[in-house]
Amino acid sequence: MTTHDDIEISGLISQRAQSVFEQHQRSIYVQTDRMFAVLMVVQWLACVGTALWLSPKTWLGQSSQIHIHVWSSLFLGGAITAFPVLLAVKHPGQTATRHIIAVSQMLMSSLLIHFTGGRIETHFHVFGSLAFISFYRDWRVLVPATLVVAGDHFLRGVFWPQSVFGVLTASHWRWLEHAGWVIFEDIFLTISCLRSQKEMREIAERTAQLDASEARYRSVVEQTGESIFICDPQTKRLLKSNAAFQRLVGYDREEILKLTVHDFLLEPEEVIKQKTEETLTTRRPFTVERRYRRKDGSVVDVEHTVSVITYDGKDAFCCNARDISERKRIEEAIRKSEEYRNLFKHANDAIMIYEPTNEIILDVNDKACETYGIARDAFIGRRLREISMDNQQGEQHVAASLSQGAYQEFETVHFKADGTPIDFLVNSSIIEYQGSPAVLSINRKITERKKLEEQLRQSQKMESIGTLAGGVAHDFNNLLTIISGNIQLASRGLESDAAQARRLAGAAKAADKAATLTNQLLAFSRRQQLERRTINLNETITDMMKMLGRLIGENIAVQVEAAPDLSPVFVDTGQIEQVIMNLALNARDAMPNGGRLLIETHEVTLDENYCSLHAFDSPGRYVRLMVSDTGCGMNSETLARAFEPFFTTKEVGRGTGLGLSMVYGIIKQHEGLVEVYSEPGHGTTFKIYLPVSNVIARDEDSKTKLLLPTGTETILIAEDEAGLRELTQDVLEGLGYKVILAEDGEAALELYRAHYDEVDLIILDIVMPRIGGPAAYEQMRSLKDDVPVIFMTGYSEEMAHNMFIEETGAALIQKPYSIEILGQKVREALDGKGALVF
Amino acid sequence: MSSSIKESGSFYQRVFSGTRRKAWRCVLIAFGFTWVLMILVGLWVLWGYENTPGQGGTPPLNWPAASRVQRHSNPFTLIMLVHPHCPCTRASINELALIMARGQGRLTAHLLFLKPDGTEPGWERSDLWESASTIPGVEVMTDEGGAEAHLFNAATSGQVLLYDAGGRLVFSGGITGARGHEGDNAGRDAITSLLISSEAERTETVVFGCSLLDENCKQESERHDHAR
Repeated sequence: MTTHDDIEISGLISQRAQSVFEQHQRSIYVQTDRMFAVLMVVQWLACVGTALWLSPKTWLGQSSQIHIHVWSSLFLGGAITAFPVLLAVKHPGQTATRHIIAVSQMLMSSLLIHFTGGRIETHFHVFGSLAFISFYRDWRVLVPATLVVAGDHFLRGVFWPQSVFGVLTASHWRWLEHAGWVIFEDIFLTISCLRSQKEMREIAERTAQLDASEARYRSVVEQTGESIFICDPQTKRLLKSNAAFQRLVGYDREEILKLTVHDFLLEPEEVIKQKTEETLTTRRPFTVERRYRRKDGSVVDVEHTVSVITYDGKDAFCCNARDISERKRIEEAIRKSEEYRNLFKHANDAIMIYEPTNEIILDVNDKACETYGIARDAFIGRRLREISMDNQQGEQHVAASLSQGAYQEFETVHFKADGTPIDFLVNSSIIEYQGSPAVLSINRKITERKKLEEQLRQSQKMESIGTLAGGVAHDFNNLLTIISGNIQLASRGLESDAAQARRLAGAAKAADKAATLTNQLLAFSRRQQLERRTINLNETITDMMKMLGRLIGENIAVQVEAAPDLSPVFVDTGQIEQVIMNLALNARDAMPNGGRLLIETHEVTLDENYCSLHAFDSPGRYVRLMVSDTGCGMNSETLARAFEPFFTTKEVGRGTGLGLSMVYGIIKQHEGLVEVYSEPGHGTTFKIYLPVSNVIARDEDSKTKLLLPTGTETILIAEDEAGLRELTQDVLEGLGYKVILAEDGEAALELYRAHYDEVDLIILDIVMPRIGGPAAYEQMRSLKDDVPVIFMTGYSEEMAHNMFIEETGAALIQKPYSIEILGQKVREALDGKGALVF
Repeated sequence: MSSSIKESGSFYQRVFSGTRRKAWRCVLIAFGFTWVLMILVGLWVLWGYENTPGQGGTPPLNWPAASRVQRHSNPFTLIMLVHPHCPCTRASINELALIMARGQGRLTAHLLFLKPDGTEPGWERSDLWESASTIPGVEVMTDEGGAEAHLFNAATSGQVLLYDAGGRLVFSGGITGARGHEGDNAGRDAITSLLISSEAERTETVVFGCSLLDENCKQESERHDHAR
């Protein structure tokens, strides 16, 4: 069925065909005109040349002049030639031009025939010229040419037949014979011209159809939204592109023709080269995602299909590129949305989104469901106040967030489904949720953090109390040493006065009790000198069982559950025994009506998580000692102060309040951990963790028998406490030694410089004004390095100098000390056993 | 507005363009006619020149005794006076070749090539000499100083004189129809007829060719002719 469009297209094609035909025809006319222009000029020159050769001169006896043939060939021939040549040059393709050329060519034939005296051979010029004229493919041009030939023959045949027919007399109709032969040729030439025109029309129609087809194709290519370009696979230069591609890369048509693929395709040259070779080999199209760099430097994502085509007779790549930036953006947005969704879903904090006005919960994450113990479906739709204790505060913060459009952070308490309160740190901010404003609330559970903060506060409190107690105990020790020493000295001369001796013994006993109390304080403040050994805790407990049985009483059942193959611990046995005993006595006091005391040992590993939850920073393997009772237990207030010194719930006179403080101090000094769990009416459990030792147990006898040896050597003593200095002088002089006293390190140094060759032993207090004991000894040693030294110390803070003491091989005396220990220690130092530590 | 101006402009352009085209056509036609006319005039002049004969001579009616040319015993002796460089005489020599072919055995021909005084030796031996030498029965001779031309009173190259066995002049004239034009002509027909039947319709024709005599000699010859 023929449509209106088809008719219109057909008409356009016919017009185009006519146009192409006329264009082609005109092109032929122009070309033939130009050919004749050249031919006629050559012909004219040949004519002149022939005249010059055959009849250059005409003679008059001996004299001569230019022959008229030369002039006629030059001017007449020139006249015949000039006009058509001028037209051919100035107006090629015009109808008049080719007709005048035809006439001119025939006139030239006539002239030539004339010159040759009507030679029959020259008539071939006429036939040759007609053939040339038929190059116009226009039969009408043959008409004037034929008429000129016929006319020429007719006129000359009538008036001068010899010039054209070569005979004197010829028939008046002979010109018709000649004209007939010309027409005979004209018939063939006309047929040839008509056929040529027909072929030209067919070619024009085909060209028009091809043009129309190409125009349709070009229109499709140009109008398509797909970017298309063609490039040379060898040079990578772009050969053609459509408007969509020009818009895509931002170059105009001319600029694109100067580009190579490398100018906009963001891919390494090597990869492009390899892909090119592969594609040319396989000739299979492929589609990939690539990135193009635009003229302005921006980058666009494209889907890029490459196929091999034939373009201008050679292989070329036809590339279709589709802008997929929007698709990529959507994919990226979806991916990010998924990521955010995953972040929301799998966040480690409870996240909820609620409507700000009525606080209706719109969405919650998994962690919120887990933390609150509420299923997601049940959560959504609830009001926030149903789970919040401090609703008013929460609302205020939300209101503030809304008014300021800012993020708010506050602490609050929410309730789980079972009513358990949970401390939360809430971060709330206003977001847009499903097109409406909503509150995004990120609730971080801070119960553990608050517990840790409490533990830290408790620890800091204990630390400060310990520092205070330690300082007091140090001074007490000095005082008690003076008191005890003087009592001992005073007692020596009073064997006969029993009453005085009894009083002094009472004073000495009180001083001993005070010293014990002081030691307990020192134990709490972790300032005791430890004598560590590697032991098995099970053995220690076993050794203590008999004593514990006596101390606790029969109404309490003592049960020991010792872990087999328990690893050893590196501890001061006496201190650990003290710990066990204190805990056992504490349990006894908690069970006045009897009960059960359970002592357990286990070997456990404390991981980092456990340590972080208990404000403890040494994860590893530990031996756990658990002492549990079935006593009255403690309430939270008591529990919080359990380890404070002098805090006791016992009646006055029954406890010093230092038992658990000692436990705390001793265990801390052993780099261990103490925990207590108690519920009122449900008993108490103490858990003590001691680090597992890697030191091989040494079986050493720490007990050395104390003797009271004497000597006559000179001893330099430096002690800032005057009473203690004098006491020491009295004791040592009593044992036969010569004593030089100094009130501090600097004085000792000066004295030593004066008497260093006399001094056999130096006794230095570690902590003294101006120069301490170790520093003074350093300088003394530079004068004489083989003199033995004994350091005295009141508390273990001075043990920071332990390394120095070990290096020097010095002995150490712990204050308060007894006369026996001092005498024994001095003697050992003088005899070269100073490395022993007491 | 601008559109209408543009349209009216193009209208005037069209009008002017059409006028120019007509004017051009008129000029072309006029020029064409002028051109054709010029060519026709040229052809007419050329035609006229080629049909204009040379000066006719008054040859002796009997064989001049002073001539160096030996008359043969053949029934006819032909004398042709030739200017060796005359381009028109080539046609006469070609026509002579035809005559010789037809009158074989009855005709002896002598071609006298003019060699004016003062010319270099060999001046007379042109291509015409060569052509003539090849024609059977033709004797080629040099006419030193134009002595023979004077004796035979010939003024134009291509002048042919035919004497019979008794030394009487039976034909005088040219053997081409026009300057340099071969082909049928009255001279050739007359000689051929004389050779065959000793009769001819015409015994004289005009001669087409270059002048054998220069301007001075020519005037002297003309005076001499008048005197006779």
